[in-house]
Amino acid sequence: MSQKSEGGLQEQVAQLYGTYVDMVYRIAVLYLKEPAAAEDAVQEVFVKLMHWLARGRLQEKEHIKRWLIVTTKTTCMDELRRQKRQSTDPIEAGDFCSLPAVWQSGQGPDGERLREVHDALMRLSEDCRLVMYLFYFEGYSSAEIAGMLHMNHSTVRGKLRTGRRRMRILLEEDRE
Amino acid sequence: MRQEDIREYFRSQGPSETQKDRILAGVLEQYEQETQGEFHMCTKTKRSVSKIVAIAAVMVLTTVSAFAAVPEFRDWIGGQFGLTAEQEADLAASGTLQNIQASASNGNLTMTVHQALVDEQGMYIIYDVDSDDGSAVDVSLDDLQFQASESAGVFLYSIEQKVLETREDGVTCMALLTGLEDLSGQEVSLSSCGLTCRWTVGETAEIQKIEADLTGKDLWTGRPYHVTGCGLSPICVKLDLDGAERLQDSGFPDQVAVEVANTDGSVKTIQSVGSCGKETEDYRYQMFLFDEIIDVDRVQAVYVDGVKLN
Repeated sequence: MSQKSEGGLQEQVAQLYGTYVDMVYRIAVLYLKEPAAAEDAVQEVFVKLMHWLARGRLQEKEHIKRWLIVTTKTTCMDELRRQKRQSTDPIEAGDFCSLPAVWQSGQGPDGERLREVHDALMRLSEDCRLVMYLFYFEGYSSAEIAGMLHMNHSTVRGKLRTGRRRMRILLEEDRE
Repeated sequence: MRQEDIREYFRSQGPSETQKDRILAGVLEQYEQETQGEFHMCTKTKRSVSKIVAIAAVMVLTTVSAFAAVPEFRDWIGGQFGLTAEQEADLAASGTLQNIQASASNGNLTMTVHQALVDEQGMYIIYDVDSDDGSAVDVSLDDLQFQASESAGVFLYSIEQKVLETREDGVTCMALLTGLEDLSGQEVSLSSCGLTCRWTVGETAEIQKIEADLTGKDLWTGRPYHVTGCGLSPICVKLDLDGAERLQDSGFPDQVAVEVANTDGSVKTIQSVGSCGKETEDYRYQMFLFDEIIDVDRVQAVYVDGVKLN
């Protein structure tokens, strides 16, 4: 089994961190909603990455990206379960506090529009939000998402349909 | 709502530079603690991510001599199932492979649970029992017990044990549990030789439903039930059943021949190493654990006793 030197490991982690921390954080926020919890999850994910890199088990860049996506999801689900078991009140959509202040006040040229997107998105299930993110932002196809998240292809397509439909409906409801 | 609105929303959700710095500092500190390294942290209250690579490079130069070895997984499961490095990493990412490292000792014996392969309803657990005085250790299936914190007395499962290695002063074993409830987030314990190791199960991998039209597909001709659904995880195939007779009264087979056809054209024949059934008034299933790991993403078709299920 190959082991990386400390120097090589940290250099590689620093590069990967610079490339993927935004993505990992965004996914963590989609699940955990609260920035501090998302930061903790991101930290845990990259520590896991360091361990696996040190053991020489992750090498190809696209594979690492997919591994980070799945590990972030798993880590966040663990945290949600831990919160539930500790009987802390789940964080409601309204408590989500990483929105820029201009959105929260609904000011600015895009504030209201993005706030609507946010409110609609946060009413979807966690998995549905992740599928929407991977499809619309990361540009993965539904088949690729299915493979990555170990879901049936039809399940992913269903979540996309649900996401599109519910976001549109919710936005319309909010406008009424 | 336009797609660009969604993209713009996600784009705006990245962490701030301050957050990035804080998280990276935490990553390095936690990794150092976990590996018991001695390199010193280099932190600043504010710096851009573009500088992080350079900072990390400086840290590299100042800490190489103090590098402590990364602790190894025991690799029992990977070795047992012939996993490639990438497969092992992917199984860990999805929650199927969980590193545990829980120990208990009574002064004479030490039990250590190393790793587990887990899905929604099955679990392989690798554990050691070692004697502290160098004497031989004998483990018995009768002594092996598994408990879950939320089982509330209705927790039914089947447990098997396989001795993987016998040493002069200890043994390494694999416990196979089937018929579990979803244990994600639960505190569980495994007891053997009077010792009990406890740990919390992480998020487990789902058993994927196989998209199949099972109409007219007659498994086990002549038996008083038929298959209504099928699921596949890296470690088991699970059959949902419908029928007029109780499973245990009908002589349901303990072992089935499972063939997995992969997208690359290869076909793998897998013998189930254990099975467990469960039934209520309106639902019953039988699941069969494999003795090797299935790469679910590559599976194109599943055959059970020669019948294609999808």
